[in-house]
Amino acid sequence: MDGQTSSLTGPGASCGAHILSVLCSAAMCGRLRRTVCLCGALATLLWAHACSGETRDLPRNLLEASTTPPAPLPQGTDCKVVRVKERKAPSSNHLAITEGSFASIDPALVHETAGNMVASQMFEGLLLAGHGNLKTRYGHADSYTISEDGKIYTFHLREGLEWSDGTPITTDDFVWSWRRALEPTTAAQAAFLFQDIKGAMAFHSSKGTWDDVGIRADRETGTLTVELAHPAPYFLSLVSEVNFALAPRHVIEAHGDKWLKPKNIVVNGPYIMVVHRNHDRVVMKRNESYWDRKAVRIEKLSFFETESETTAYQWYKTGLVQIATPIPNETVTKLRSQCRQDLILTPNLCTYYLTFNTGNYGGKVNLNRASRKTLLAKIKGLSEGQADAIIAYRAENTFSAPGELKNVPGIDGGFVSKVRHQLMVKDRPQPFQNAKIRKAVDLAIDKEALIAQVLGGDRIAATHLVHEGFADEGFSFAPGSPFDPEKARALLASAGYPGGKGFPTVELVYNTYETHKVIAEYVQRQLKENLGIRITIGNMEWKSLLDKMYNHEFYISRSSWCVDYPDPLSFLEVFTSGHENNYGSYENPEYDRLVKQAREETDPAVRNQLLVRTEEIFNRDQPVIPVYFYTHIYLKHPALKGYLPHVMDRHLLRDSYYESFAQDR
Amino acid sequence: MGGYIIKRLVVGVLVLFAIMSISFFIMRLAPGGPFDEDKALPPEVKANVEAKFGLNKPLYIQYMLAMKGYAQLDFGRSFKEPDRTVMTNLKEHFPISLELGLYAFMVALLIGIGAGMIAGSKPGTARDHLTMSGAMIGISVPNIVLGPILLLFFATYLGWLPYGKWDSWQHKILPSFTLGLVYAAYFSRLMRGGMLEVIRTDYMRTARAKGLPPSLILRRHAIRGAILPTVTYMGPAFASILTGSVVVERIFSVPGVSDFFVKGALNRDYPMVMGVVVLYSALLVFLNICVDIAYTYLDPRVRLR
Repeated sequence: MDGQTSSLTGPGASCGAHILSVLCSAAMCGRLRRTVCLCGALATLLWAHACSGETRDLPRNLLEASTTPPAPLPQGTDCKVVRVKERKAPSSNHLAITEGSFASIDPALVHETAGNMVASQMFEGLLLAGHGNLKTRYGHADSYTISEDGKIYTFHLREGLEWSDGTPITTDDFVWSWRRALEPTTAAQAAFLFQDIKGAMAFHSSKGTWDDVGIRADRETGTLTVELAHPAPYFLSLVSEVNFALAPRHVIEAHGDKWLKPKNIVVNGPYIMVVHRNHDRVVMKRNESYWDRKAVRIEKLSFFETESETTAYQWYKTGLVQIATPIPNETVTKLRSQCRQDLILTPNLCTYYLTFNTGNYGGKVNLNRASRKTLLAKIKGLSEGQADAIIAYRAENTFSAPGELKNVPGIDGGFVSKVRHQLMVKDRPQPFQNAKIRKAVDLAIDKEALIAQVLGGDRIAATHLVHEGFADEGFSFAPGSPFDPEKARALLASAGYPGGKGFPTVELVYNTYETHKVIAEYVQRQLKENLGIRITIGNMEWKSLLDKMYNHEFYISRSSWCVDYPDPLSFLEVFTSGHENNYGSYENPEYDRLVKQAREETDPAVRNQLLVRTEEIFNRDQPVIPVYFYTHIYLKHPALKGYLPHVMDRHLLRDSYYESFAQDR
Repeated sequence: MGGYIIKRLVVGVLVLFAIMSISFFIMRLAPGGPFDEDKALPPEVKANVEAKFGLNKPLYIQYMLAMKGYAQLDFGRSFKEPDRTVMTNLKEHFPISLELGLYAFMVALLIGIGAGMIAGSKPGTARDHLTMSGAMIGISVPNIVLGPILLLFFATYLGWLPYGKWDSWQHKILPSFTLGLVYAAYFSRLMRGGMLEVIRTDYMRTARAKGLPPSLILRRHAIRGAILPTVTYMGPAFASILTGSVVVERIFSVPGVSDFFVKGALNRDYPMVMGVVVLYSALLVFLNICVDIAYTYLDPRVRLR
């Protein structure tokens, strides 16, 4: 897969650290053979370069899934069946899968795919993620009601629930667990999943008290009431996320940080951890006090950790694991050409796109041109009077350096030195502030050809933002315009660059990774051939790229987005003004208004229309070049049943079983 | 002697202090922070996370707090794995790296000394050229190339050995060889050089003249003299095997400590990187002191001052 959340290598900190190791070994080798001492460190250095940019594009905040199992993508059209050795049926009721490395499996702290997968087998909340779809199922709750206005959810807890050590579970446990996840001192990165709950973010940022958070438990009736700040039809999906699962209060209070050690751990889900070797493996067995234990069929689970795609594939091939992901690109191509039935390709709710910087480079304010409103909005701490003073000064003078701001009456040097980095006096060429140019660039790139001919056809070409994996959910989209070089040239000409003449050379940046490079080169070639404009491409290490993006120091940048909750809004809200992930500074008041309206709307049909209209505006303004919709690719042992594809990659292994062991319970 | 050791230890601690200070600031020069993700965290969430790890404090206070912690061997919490401390990670994963390092070291010694003796006892012959060509290849092929080739051959084609991981002795063969072979090549060249010198000495001629069988001459007289350069190099070799296992651990999915170094750097996980830097530096300082002390025993001409 291609790249974002995990990590990358490059010239940044890693090299700093490596150079350091070189220096210290040299310094300490003293009079001994210096060269030899260096070689270990040098090997490391070389390797860091060789490996730079190895990363995986696993969505970080997957929540939940689609209604029906998403239709598998077509196999390669011209595949030829090659006979492979029949895979042996497993000899024990044991399922082993590959897993990426995870930061935490504490339900409150989980914030990436791998941790989510491991933790969600052990910790359960009110609802469960759908089995191969996005319809949530009952977990610890056995019923719920939603108020007319869509804001109040009341969950009723099952009777007789208990922890794996026999301690009974009550609604108070939920209140305690959710509060723990939201507590500022817990500092959970996934705390934003609770943001729809009334008062939650105020509590999280220490501005409100717990009493104002809309979470209430009634122990008598066994109900839990959640009040939302606004209607959120996707809230049930959020509740089925592992971040909303229970954490055992009595164990955490007794063992502190060590509560997740196999000897201390107490769970409420279908499996309990028996072995945890950090960065190596997790082994679990069935939890015999789980409320639905009869439905859990696989006896033992193993998660083998690896970051290498080749290793994952080899483990599958040699029978160590029954499910392997991710698989190297070239292996996927090979297996598809052999019509292999154990290779599964399904949509994954993430979209790959190239972001245009629609604002000023570096997000800076042009002192000579910015309006009063922009001055006030962009310069931190500027008073209204000072803004007026700048306007008045400008009438007679021209700023030739940001430092000259201190010549303006009423502004002192101290203030100027504080805001200097936000200022500029001459515009850098900003072609992508013009929507016509953005549109022209988008139209000039043949994405179908890119996917089919360059990337091996295992993704879905995209013309718009919202992933089409939502089609099964009853959501509609506004398709963008297909490849049309004629129209692109006409648009570019009308924007003042006929035949690309005079177009400034701008850079496309991406984080170091082979697939990104291939795409960047393709875009570069297409723009040259179809529009006559030249762009340069540049790669950098992941965190360095993020730094550029956070500071708006780019023209076009590789990006992607994975949904936080299964709803088109999760894609669209990113591009509202001032959103922390709106790196390209796209702003359109109409767009913001529609997103807000869609958020408040309770009628699904009207809401759907609003979302489509929002996306139409997005397509018209074209703040990004959509490239493709992600797919999830994995190998699955043919004898393993009940492991269904899920558009958010959520899998509860309690649903899986082998036919040969089906009678086990 | 005792005074010398104390002096070296004091200097060692100063070196460590310098390394820690430099690393502390160099790491923070790298663009991007530990909690910058492609999904930017909402400001209030990020504020809490940074407060938890003290990243909201001024840099010099962070530095002083960190140094105070290091003095008490407390490296703090890993940014990436919030429920683990750096010390836990080092304690759990360094023994694995150490084990791998020891096996690789043994591989290097056995093969290196053996090959060096074979080559050095009959210099200029076909077997000398053959062994030394092998050694040259061993030095030139980096383990990022050797590892995957060995895996492909022994694990994928032949299926004799498992593909990666660190469980049974079968798992340990390939990584140990991959890591050890380069050093085996170095050792063999040193050993051969030692042999060439010894073989021409008078006492060897005397031994031969006495009519001793060649195998006995080799065992009793030649090796003793020839092995000295090899012994000299053992300390630095062991240190660089231990600190240079990153690639091998990656290739063979060995859950050693070096992965924390690389990933820590990529993730801007400052405490984790610092932990490994300190561990490796302390190891190097310590091994160098040991080697220098060992010198005095091996070679009376070296005097400590």
